[in-house]
Amino acid sequence: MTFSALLDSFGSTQKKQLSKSSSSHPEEPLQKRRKLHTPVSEIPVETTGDDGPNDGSTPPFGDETKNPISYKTHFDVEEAPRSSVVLSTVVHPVLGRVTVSNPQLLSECATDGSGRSQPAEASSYQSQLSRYVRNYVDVALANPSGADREAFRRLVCSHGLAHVLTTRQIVLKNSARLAKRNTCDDDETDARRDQGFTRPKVLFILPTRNSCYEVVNHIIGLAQGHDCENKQRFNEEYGPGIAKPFSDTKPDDFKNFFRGNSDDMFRIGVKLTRKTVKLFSKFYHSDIILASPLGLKSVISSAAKDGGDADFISSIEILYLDSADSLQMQNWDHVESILASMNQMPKNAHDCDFSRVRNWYLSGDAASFRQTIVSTAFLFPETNSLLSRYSKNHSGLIKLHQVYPGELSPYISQVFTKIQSTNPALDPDVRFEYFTKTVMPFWKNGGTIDKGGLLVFLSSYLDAIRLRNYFNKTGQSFGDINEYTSASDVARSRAYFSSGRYKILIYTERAHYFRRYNLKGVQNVFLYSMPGNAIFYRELVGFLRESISDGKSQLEDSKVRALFTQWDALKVERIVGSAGYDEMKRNDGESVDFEFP
Amino acid sequence: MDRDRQHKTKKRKILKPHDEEDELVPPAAPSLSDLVASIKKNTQTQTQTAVSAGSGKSSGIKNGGDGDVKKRRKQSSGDSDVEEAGEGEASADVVEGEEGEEESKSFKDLEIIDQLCETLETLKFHKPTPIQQASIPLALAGKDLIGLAETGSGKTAAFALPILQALYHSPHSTLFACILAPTRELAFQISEQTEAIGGSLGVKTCVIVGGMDMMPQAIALSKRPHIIVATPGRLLDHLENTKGFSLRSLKYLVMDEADRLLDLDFGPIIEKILKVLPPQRHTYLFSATMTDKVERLQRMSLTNPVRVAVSSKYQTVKSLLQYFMLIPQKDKDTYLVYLVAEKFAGKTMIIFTRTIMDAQRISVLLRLLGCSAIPLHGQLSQTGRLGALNKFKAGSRNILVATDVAARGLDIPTVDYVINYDIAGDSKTYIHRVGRTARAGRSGVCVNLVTQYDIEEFTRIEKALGKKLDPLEVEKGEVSLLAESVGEAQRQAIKEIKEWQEKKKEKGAGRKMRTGKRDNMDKEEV
Repeated sequence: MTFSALLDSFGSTQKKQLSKSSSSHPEEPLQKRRKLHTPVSEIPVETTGDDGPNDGSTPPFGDETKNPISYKTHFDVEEAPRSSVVLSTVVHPVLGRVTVSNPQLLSECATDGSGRSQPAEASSYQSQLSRYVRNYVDVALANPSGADREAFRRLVCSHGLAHVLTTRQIVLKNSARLAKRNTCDDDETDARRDQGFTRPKVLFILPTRNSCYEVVNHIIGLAQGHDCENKQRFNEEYGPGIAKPFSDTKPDDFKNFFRGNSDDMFRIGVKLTRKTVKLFSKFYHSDIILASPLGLKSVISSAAKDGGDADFISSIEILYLDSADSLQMQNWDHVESILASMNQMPKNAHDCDFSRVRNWYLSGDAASFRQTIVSTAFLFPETNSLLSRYSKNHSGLIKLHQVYPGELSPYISQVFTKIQSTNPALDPDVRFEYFTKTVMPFWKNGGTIDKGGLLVFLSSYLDAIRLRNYFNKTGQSFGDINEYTSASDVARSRAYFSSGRYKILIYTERAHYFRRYNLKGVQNVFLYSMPGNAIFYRELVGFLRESISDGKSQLEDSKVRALFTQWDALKVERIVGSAGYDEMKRNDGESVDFEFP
Repeated sequence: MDRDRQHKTKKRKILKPHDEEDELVPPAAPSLSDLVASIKKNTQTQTQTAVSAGSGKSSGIKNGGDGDVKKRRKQSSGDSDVEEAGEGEASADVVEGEEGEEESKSFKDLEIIDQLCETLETLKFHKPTPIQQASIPLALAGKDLIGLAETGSGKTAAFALPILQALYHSPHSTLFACILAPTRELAFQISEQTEAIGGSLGVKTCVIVGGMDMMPQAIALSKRPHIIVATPGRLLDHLENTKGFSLRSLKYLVMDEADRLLDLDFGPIIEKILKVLPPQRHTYLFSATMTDKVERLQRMSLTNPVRVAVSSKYQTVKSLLQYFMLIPQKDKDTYLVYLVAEKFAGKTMIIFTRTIMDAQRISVLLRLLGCSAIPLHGQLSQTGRLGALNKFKAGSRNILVATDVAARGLDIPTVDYVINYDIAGDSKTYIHRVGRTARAGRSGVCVNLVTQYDIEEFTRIEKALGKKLDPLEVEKGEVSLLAESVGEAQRQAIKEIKEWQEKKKEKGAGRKMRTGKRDNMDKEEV
C-alpha cells in the first residue's frame, strides 16, 4: 500500500504552502475543497460580520493552520446535540474497514470523494483522513506501518497547532472588542464566550521522550517565523544524545520505537505567543501539553493528596494518544485514570475569566466537545473500551482498522485450541485449569517435556507468576524470563534453556516487547495466551524455524500450540488473518482444535 | 451566680438599641401635630399609589373583630407611625400598611401580572398581606422603599413580586437583582420562595453564601442567573476575586433584615458592595426596626425612599396565647420534659435556649426520653443546619431545640408551641421567638419557663408587651413523678455531650484555620 508515501507527500505540500503563505494569504487547496462541500448555509454566516480590523493582525503562520469553519461548527454550539451512538462496521471503498458512530460521517465523506475528481484512490484516503481530523471527529487509526503512523502524527501536530492558533486569535479579537466596548458603553449582556476554564487546549500523550522530541520539533517547524525559547534545554533533556547503536538482530519496529531517548517519564508545556514558541512553560500558561502517561499521572495523583489538581486538563479540546499499543505495554491504568480525570469541573478558578467561559464548559459538557485521536499499531480491547467510554464527541467517532493477512507459517504445524470462557474475568482460571488438567498430562505422556526446548509464552505477567508457582510445586525444571527478571538471571535462563538443562522456559510478552531476545534451542512453542502484536507471533515461530535450520530440531517434531478464548478475538484475527478468523468464529464446540496449515 | 452575671452583660449590650427601637419614630421627626397634619396631606397626595393600597384585613389577623380593628387604628395613629415626605435628610415618605381598610384587595388589583397571580394562587397566597399591599404599588411605580415589617409578614413576596414583574418586562437581562440577607438559612429560604413565585417565568436564582466552595458558586454566577441571593461577605469576595463577575447590570438591590445585617458588622462590607453597584438602580431596604445604623445605611443607599411601616411596635398577634410558669431553677428540665412529653405530647414545637450547650443537651435529653428532638445552632456545619431544619420542616422530627439562630426569618409554618426554656434576652428577641407560632392565621401557644433568677427580665418583657401573661396551670404531682427518670437521663445526656464536644474539638481545629474570617461572618453568632 502506498498510503505512507502519499501522506508524506501531503506533508511536503504543506511545507511548500507554508513557505509561500508567509508572504501572502493564498487560498489553500484543502480549504477550498472544504468550502465546496460544506453545507452552503454554514459558510457565509461565519465569515461575514467577523472581518473587522483583525485582518492585519494575523500571526505569520500559514493559512492552512487556520480552520475557522469546522472550528465553528464544532465549538460554537450552545450545547452538545445528543445522538444515540450505535457503532457500525462497514467496508468503505476508500477507507477500508471502518467503524463509525454515525453512518452520516461516511456519506459526507463519500460526497466529498465523488464531488471532486481525485487523481488516485489513495490520495482521497489521505485527504479524507485529514478531513476527519480537521473536522474535529474522533479518529482511531490502527495501522501496523510505522511510517504511516508517523505521517498521521504530523497531521495531528498541524491540526493541533491550527486549533491553538484559531482559538487564540478569536480570544484576542474578542478581548480587543470588549476593551473597546467598555470605554463607550457598558452594555455587556452580550458577553463573548470563547474559552475554557484553563488555557491548555491540546494534550499529546506520547510513549517516549524521543517521540516528544519529534513532535515538538515538528510543531516548531510548522510555526515558522517564531523564535523558540528554551530550545537548548529541550535538546539536552529530550534529544537523542549519544545514540547507542542497536544490535543488528533487533527488528525494525523495535529500533524505531526505542531509538533516541526512550525514557517514559516526562511532561512538558508549550506556550505559543505572537512571536515565540516557549517550551517548558507552566502548565496553566501552556497551550499544548506533551506528556507520557506516567509523567502526567504523577502530577495528577501527587496533588491528589492535597485536594487534587487535574484542573489544567479540564479544558483540553484535542487529545492525542500516540502509539496506544506501546502505552499499553507501559501501563494502561495511567491512561485510563488520565482520561477519567479529564474535562472535569476545575476545583480552583486559576484566574479564569468566567464571563468568557463557554456555556457548555459551565454546564459540564466539556467532554462532549473534546476530540480524541488515537493512533495505534493495532486495536486491542482496552482501546475499544476506552473509546466507548470516553469518546463522547458530538461530532462522532471513526475507527479505521485493517484487514489482516495473518502471520501463519506455511510449514510448521500450528494447532490453536479454543476453550470456552463465559466471562473475561474468569478467563485466567479457565486457562489455568485447562493447562493443568489437559495440557500437562498430554505433555508428560507424550514426552514433550523430556524432550526439552519447550517455550511457554504468556501475554500476562500474572499468569506467568501463577504458572511459575505451579511448576515449582510440581518440581519441573524450568527457566523464567519476564519483564522484571534481572539481566544475569535472563542470561542464565537463556543459556540453560538452549543447552537443554531447563526443559521449559516461561516467557512473557512484555519481556519480549522490551528486550526482543533471540531465543535459541526452541523446539516447541506453547502459547498459553496469544501475543497482542502479531509480529511477536512471527518471531516466536521464527525461533522454531531457526532451530530447525540449525539442525537442533526436526520439522515434524516442532509444533506451535496455542490456547485462546472468545475474548482473544482481535489477537487471533491478526494471527490467522481476517478471512481465516471468520471461519473460526463459527465453530462453537466445547473445546475445538484448529490446525494449520 | 454565674448565670446571673451572664444575663447582666447581655442585657447591657442590647439595652441601647433596644430603647431606641421601642419607638418607631425616627429621631429627627417633627412634632406630633405637624405629623398629624402631614398625614392628611400625605393621604391625599398618595391616595392612588399608597395608602389606599395598604388595605384589607391582614391574613394574620383575620379573626380580629371589627371593634378590634378600630382600637388598633386609634392606637397606631396615636403612635404617629406616619411621616410626611419632604425636605431634610431623615425624611422619607411613609406609607402605613395598616390593617383594617374597608375594601380588601387582591394581587390583581395591585397590578400584578396574570402569570404571577396564577402562581400565587397555586401557592395558596390568595390575599396580599398588609406589607405587600402597601409596598408593591410603590415598588411598581419605581420608588425606592424602606419596609418596616417583622418576619412572617410576607416581606419576601413584597420585594420579590415587583422584581419578578420587572424581569418579566425585560426578559433578556441577567444579573438583574441582588438580595442581601444576614444569614445563610435566610438566603436559602428567600431563594426558594423567589423561585417558587417566579417559577412560571423561569427565573434563575443563585445563592451565594459563606461556608460553601467558591468554585461552584463562581460557575453558577457565570451562568448569569437573574437573581442573586447572597450574604454580603461572600458576595464581596466574589466581586473582588472572581474574574469576569460584576454587578454592573444590576437593576434591583434588596437588603433584607437590614438591622440584622448591621448587627452582624456587615456595615463596611455593604459599603464596599454599594460602591461597585450602578447608581441607577432600585433599592429596597427591609428591617424589623429602625436603628441609627439602618438610618445611615438608608442615606447611603437609597434615593428618595418611601417608608412603608406595617405593624406597630412590639405586638403579638391575637391568636397567640402566652403563658409563663414560675419554677425553681433546679427543676427546669423536669418541667420542660413534663410540657414536652406529657402536656403537649406529639405537637410540633420549638424550644429556645440561650446557649448552644443547652440546645445540644436538651435535644439529647429529650431524645433519651423518647421524644424526636433535633438541635439547631451555630456550631453545626452549614449542611447540618440545613439538614436539621429540613427534617423539622418535613415533620420527621417534631421538636426543634434552637438557639436564637432560628428565631429570625425562618418560615416554619406549622409550629403549635414555642417554649422559651431560657427567657428571651430582650423584647425584640421575644417577639421574634414567638413569631414562630400563630402564623398566617393559625393559633399558637407560647410558654415561658421563668426561674427565680429570671423574674426581673421577665417583667421587663411583660412591660414591653404591654400586658400581663397568665400562668400555666400544671399538676405538681405529675411533674414530680418524672423527676427520677429525668435525672437519670440528665446524667446520660451530659456524658454524651462531653463526647460530642471532644469530637467537635478534633474536627474544628483544622477547619477554622482554613476558612477566612469574613467568610464566616454570615454565620450566626449565638
